[in-house]
Amino acid sequence: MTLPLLGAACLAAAALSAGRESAAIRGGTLVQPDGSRLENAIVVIENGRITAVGADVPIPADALVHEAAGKVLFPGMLLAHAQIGLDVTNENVPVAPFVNVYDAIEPNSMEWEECLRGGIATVHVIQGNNTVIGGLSRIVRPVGDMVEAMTVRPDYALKISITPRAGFNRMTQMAELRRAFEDLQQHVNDVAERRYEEEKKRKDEKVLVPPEEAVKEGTKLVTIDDLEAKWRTLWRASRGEIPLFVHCDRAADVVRGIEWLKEMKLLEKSVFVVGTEAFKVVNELKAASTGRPVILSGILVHEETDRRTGKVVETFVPKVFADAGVPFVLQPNGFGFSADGQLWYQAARCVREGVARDVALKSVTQSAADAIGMGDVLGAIAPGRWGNVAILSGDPLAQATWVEKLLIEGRQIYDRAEDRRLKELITGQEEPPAPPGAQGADPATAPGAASGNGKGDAPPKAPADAPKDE
Amino acid sequence: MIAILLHGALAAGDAAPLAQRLKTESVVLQAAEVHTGDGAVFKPGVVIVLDGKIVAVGPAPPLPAGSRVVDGGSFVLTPGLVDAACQLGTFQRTGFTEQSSEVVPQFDAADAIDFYSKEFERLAREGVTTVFVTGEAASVISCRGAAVKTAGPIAARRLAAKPCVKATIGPESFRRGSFNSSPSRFRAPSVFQRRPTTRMGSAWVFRKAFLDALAFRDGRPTDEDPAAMRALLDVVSGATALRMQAREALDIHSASRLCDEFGLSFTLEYALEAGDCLDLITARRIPVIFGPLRTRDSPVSAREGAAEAYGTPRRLAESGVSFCLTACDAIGDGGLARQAGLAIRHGLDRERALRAVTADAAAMLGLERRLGRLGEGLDADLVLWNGPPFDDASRPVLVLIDGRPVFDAEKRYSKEDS
Amino acid sequence: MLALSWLLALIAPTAGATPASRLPQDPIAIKVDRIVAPDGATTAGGWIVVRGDRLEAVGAATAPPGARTLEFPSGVACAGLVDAVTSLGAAGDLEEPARAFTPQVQAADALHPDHSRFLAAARGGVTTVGLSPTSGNVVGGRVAIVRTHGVQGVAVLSGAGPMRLALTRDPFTSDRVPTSRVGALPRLRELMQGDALAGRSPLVVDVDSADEVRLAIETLGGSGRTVALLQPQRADDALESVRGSDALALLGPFDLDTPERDLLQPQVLAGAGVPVGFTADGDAAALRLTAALAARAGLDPKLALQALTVVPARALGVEGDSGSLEAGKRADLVVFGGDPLDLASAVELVLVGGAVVEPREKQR
Repeated sequence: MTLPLLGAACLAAAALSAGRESAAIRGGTLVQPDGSRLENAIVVIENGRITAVGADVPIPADALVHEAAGKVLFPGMLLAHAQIGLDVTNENVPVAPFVNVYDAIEPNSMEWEECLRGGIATVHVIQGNNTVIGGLSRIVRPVGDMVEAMTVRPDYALKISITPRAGFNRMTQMAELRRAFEDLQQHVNDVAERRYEEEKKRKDEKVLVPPEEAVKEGTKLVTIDDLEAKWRTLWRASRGEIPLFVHCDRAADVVRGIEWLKEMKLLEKSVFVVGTEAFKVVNELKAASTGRPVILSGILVHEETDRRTGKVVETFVPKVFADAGVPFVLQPNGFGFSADGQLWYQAARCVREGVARDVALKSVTQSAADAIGMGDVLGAIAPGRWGNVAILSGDPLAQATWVEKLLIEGRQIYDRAEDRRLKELITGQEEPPAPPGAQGADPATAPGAASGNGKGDAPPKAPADAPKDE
Repeated sequence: MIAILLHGALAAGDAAPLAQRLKTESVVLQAAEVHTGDGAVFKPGVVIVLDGKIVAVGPAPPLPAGSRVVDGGSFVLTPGLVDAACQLGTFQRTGFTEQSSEVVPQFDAADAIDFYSKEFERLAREGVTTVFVTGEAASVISCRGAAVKTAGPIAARRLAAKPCVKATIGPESFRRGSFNSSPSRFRAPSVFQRRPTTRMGSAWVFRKAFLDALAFRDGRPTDEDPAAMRALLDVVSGATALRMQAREALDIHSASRLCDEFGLSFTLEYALEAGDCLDLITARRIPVIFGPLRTRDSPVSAREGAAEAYGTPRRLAESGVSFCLTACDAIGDGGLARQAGLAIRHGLDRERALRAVTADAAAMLGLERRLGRLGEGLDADLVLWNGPPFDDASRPVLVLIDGRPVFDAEKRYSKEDS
Repeated sequence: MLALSWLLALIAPTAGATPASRLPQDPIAIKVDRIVAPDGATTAGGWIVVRGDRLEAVGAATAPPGARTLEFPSGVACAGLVDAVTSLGAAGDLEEPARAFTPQVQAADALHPDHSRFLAAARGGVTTVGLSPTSGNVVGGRVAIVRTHGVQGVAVLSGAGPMRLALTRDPFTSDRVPTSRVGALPRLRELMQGDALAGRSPLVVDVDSADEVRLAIETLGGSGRTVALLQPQRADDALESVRGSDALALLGPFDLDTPERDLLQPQVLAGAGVPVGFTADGDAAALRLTAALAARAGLDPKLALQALTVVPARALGVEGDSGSLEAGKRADLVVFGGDPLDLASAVELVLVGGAVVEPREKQR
């Protein structure tokens, strides 16, 4: 599969033909996920990267300046585990490591608009939970006409589930998981043996060793292209080359999952995606995750009926994780406009239930970035990081706050003033569509204006030195 | 202000015991912000409670010696929230009302209230201290509603709100009522007794009910239940108020027309498309109980049916219409505090939003002299919030009903209770 | 229907106070090791003297001359068990579905006296039962007070016992008026003011939830009449309503599958001052199991014994005449081979209205 290499080449080429590459945001109050604030901040972004942050920082002459006096700057938020843009989230076949979200992401889905409106700048699109081995994921930005233009990191992680998929029980689920890796090993062994023979033949030598030895020697020669296409992803996962996102809904699934991943020597590369009951094994998760965040369910409250008293006991799950010192990532519950369909609302609920503010803010920024391996370039506003900045009308967790503008890699992608659909909703009146070219930019590169969803500049190209496939 | 009140108490008869009791038995709640619910804000502020009533509200004065103080620290005090069109707290969620006829104004929702319902506990925890349980949409003309407080001794929870009957215009009465569509086996089936299956049918049932009531009044023979007829005549005379549930714009217009036929004044309930009928509502000065705002879907994706306008509360406020907000049957993330929060997010002024879930709602129920505001002589129903009241990161930490703590998350009240 | 009940009323008192010519002329004297007192406490034994259908003496030092004597050296004498609400002896349905309010219905009209269940009940120690209309109506009709045995057989002591009501969901169906309690309560309140429900007899009312308990007490209580709450599921949540009211609760039957919370309900209610009785559709073994499980879960054994005797008698309105071993009351008694709450104790002797119940032939 050579497409990823081609795709990267396209992006690199496109970056060379970019337009204005400097931007600065001036005068707002910078709120960082650790809770610290900087009044009258200036943030300078060049070529998609933040180059300076401070109160008194020089702004390049050619920079497009966004005045943000009276506003709040906050890092663009992240969805670390989303099924946005996928029509069906899981393949029927339970073991499908060869499946890739790349083939399914719908760039025109309304949900990308909702992301921008909600201040979300990065989305990790990954298969759903109803699977054994779900397939390969992709990290995207929520803007672009084609998947390639949206892509931030292709072929990022493999989705697996310890929790049985529909129709399976625990024993069947684990049997299928084991069998998949055993079949992979069998295939790799066959290929290794064949490669060893070929190599010997090439050197005009005879095969003088028993098959086990041939396999052992041949394995060193095996490359990804030698394998059948359908095994390549699982092979990379088994060698620790790509992370695993492991779905464990119940507490028992977490425990079983940790054991199995340890057995397979895959624990270090695993990120847990858990259900509400997982709070019961928070200490096990803490030990197994060694600092990597745990991705929590969008349902934040676990309910259990005490059989003896009939009382319903409610546990606010993020608080348990916060108290145990385990970094966690929040997801919205469903995806929508009001209440828990919004990511910032979930963070506000955490504060409401007693979670420290900085922990809540991190759970939708820095921790989410850490969970998808981009914790050094996303999730905070600091020099060296990507220019994903939201300009808010107020505090990130206040319910009267709106996203005024969203910059992704330095380019203004969303402007609430131009968001016609949002205006219609609030005023209840339909607005006439803006005539094409109203943005003042070249219509070919400003499709957003005509569609009335507030999109401004064309989607950013990846920064020229964007990291490639790991 | 408090000094003046104490003076007043001293001047009244039986002065010594009252002043003494104020000193020893009253409870003083102080907080960084006190919102009285009718626009006044004290920063910081104090509320003094005695015998379950508010005795004084004002900026923090020197406190009477010996009084018991509940310190709300940096938090915010508001009146308890009032939901004027609640559908929670009944012994079953739906079908709690009498279904043998589509016209049942002679019955009372008070008989359906489950005083031990867990829903009341949750409402109280979320700061809602009074609800008006309204009739069901399954009947075209439903039963009289009932106002109750959400917690406290049962005997103290019943309230005497203005009697009010509800009628439903729109598809609910035939959609929800249709699981009981066979006519009663003891009356001959006829097209006029059959449950309506269309909007036309519902409107006809409404019209016929009032025509029959007028016939009954004039002594003309009618088959209808005399109790129902008398209840309808109370609506005609104005002794009993009338609410019209009409969610969609066309139903709002129908409701207005139908009431015109009989000269009835009414309040709109759950009028989600009120934003599309503002001219009518403003011209006729129709009060509106608005809500609930809720959707899981993105509002920008296509949806059938009533489209909710989040900006409507702001527009209702701007147009001078009297309105209040309701959560209907939602608690938690859709509950009354969140309804106010959503309205604020979409442009409604904060103080106005507070009024819309406190004083204005109490006024709709005719209970403004008892509750809904922090004012002298009113019931001590208060909520202490640990941040701006309807903000998503805030929640109630102390709720008092009739001066009794019904929810005390941080033991602020009982700490004082020795 | 009315005529028939008058007829039964004529017969019943005669049958109840069985003419002395039918019972042995000589008194019966029963010696036991311990006697259960009216308060449920087990006191020192002695002689229990029965003359005709009455208890003449309880705990006497000696037997009267000429008495037929029966001695049980380790026996414990207890009042005959009472089950206030049963379907014992029903010939056909006890349900009248046409209307929701049927105060004129009498369960006595459905009684089939030769029913074999009566003999089984009597042998197990159940001496008085209430035959009740079902919970299908808001006002279901009158419970018949029936003694389970007699020289002339089973007899109705009173055809016009307590009124049976129901405030659960059962009476409300979509094919009958009213369809909801909202439609029923105004009529019920009217009836409470009127003649149909007039009188001093108890009101036995079916309730489930805590709120239904509250409703029953608010609607039916306050007139000084006993309100017997029948098998409430969650009366333990409604303590605010039951405390200080005229209500008593009839609970059970309990078995080995009963959840712990339900087994605790008797003592929770007792703690709030609510008298508790047990009911098990007249099945003696089930009644004893219920009492044993409740006692094991922590109910005071005195209250457990009262729950089998005194309290159900109150629910039927016959506590003046039976339900405890006191001179002058009906001679309904059971002698157990040991502690009545111990399931291993066998039933040694049963008297119903002074008549000995023949035990089953013992298998060898």
